[in-house]
Amino acid sequence: MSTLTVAKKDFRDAVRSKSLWLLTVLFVLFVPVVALYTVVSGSSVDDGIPTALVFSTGLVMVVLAPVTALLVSIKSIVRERTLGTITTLLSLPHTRGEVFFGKLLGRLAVFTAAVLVGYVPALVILSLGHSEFATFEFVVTVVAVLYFGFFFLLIGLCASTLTRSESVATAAGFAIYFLIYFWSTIFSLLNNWLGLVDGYAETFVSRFELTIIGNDITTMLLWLRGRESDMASAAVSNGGDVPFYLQHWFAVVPLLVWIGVPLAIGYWQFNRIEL
Amino acid sequence: MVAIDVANFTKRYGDVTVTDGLSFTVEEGEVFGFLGPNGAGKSTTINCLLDFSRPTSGDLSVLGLDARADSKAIRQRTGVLPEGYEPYPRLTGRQHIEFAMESKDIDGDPDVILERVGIADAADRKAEGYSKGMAKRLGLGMALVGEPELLILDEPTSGLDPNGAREMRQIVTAEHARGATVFFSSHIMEQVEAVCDRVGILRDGEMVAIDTVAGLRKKVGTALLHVTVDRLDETVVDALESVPDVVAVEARMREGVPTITVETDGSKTAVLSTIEDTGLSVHDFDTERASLEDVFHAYTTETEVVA
Repeated sequence: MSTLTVAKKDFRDAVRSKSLWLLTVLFVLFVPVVALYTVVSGSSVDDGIPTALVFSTGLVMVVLAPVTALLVSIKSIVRERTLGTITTLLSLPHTRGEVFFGKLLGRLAVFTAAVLVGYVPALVILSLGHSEFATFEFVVTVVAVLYFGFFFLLIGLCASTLTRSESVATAAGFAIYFLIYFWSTIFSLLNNWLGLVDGYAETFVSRFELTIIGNDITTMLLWLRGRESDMASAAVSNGGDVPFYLQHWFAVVPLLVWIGVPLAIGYWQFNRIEL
Repeated sequence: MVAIDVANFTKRYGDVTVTDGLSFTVEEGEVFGFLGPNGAGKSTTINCLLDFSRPTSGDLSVLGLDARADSKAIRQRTGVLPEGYEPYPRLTGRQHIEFAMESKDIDGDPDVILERVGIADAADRKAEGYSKGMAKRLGLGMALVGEPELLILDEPTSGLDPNGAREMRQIVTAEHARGATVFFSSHIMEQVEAVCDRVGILRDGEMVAIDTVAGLRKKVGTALLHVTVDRLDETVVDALESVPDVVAVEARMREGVPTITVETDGSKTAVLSTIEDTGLSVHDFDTERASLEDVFHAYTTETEVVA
């Protein structure tokens, strides 16, 4: 109950942020405007989704969604500390944990709203405009965009509990963005140089890359519909003669690590800070 | 019943000791003024009572509950105006009160509260446009939600104009009449004079006086003795401080004349003879009644020799 009250307050507060509006405008430009363009120009529809939209969604997934997720999360707690509103919040009967998870829910809701403002009108436009439009694949794409953003949001929220300075938080936001994207490059460079792991172990480490987890989850969603997909990552093997940690179902573990570690660190840190 | 119990409370930040074994209690139903100059440790104590900070050692309890383990239950039953209260800039005044009501699970009309603290006409404005005084009133409004048993107000009158400070005192009096315990801090003595049942004066993390206002008034009745002498030295201060009933001693040059000011509950003769016993000669003396502000000043500043 307390968690929801905090989440609701936090949502009300965060949706009034001007920079969030700016990013939401970009969502609208990248998604429904592009969707409308494909309908008007009568572009071809391969695999159920217009090509132009596949490209713009790629951009949304790689840039816009993570940036929005980091923007709504990275200052969510540190800003309350610099403004001094954190004691206003904690003067009311909420535990630290309720505030932390309330903030998480509130910011997830803000992020989801920003994404849906782009994708819901696009869904309507596309299903009316293209007879070959594949609703299910489109929804899977939206889920993937949300999923991507959620990681950045979680990590951003965790980082927000670790500093007292907003500029440190902003710098951390950029660092997180690049670290996550260049994770596999950084890792393979380090690995080539130091010769840490090879073979199965190297493949296992690569499973922690967000795009690979994302592909695995997408595959799983499609598989639930009873479809084969060519999007399965190289690391995934259905059965076969590989260790258990390279099998398909093990994709859940890196996923839980990515969710669990930032949550645990953030919760632990927020509980111990002195205001 | 005890509303607030602080026992052997020590708080250190690194090498800095803010409070060292502080102990005091606030009784249920009283208005307790927690006084002291800035930096004495008032907010540190309040922050630990509310679990905003954690004590280095000691036991703190509020309404019979442990300040750390039962903090949520304490805050459910307590109205808090925290140190340097800040509203959420993007939310309106009414949304703040609504949030406090939802948080405490209380049904009520936010406008009644806003009316009471005098900002009803700004209910629908975002708090970023509020003046310092209006923000303070909003903070007090949030604290009043749900008729709490205990009010903890950290410097409620700072940032308010004299009119606002008077209204704040009226609200404190009304809350007390309703049966609430009020614990508030201030660095200005006159703010507490009219409303407090008891006053605790904190200096450098230690409670240097804790008494009823009547008790402090008795001290107002004590003589403030200005004695002009031929010279000043350290030994006279030490000697006077060991005289029974002497409350405070100050030795310094006043208008070019070496003067010892002694505040005492006891006899003037004892003071004068002590001065003469240390080898100083008394030129003249007069007496003056101390104001409450002087009492506060005497408790919160170091006695020192400025020769």
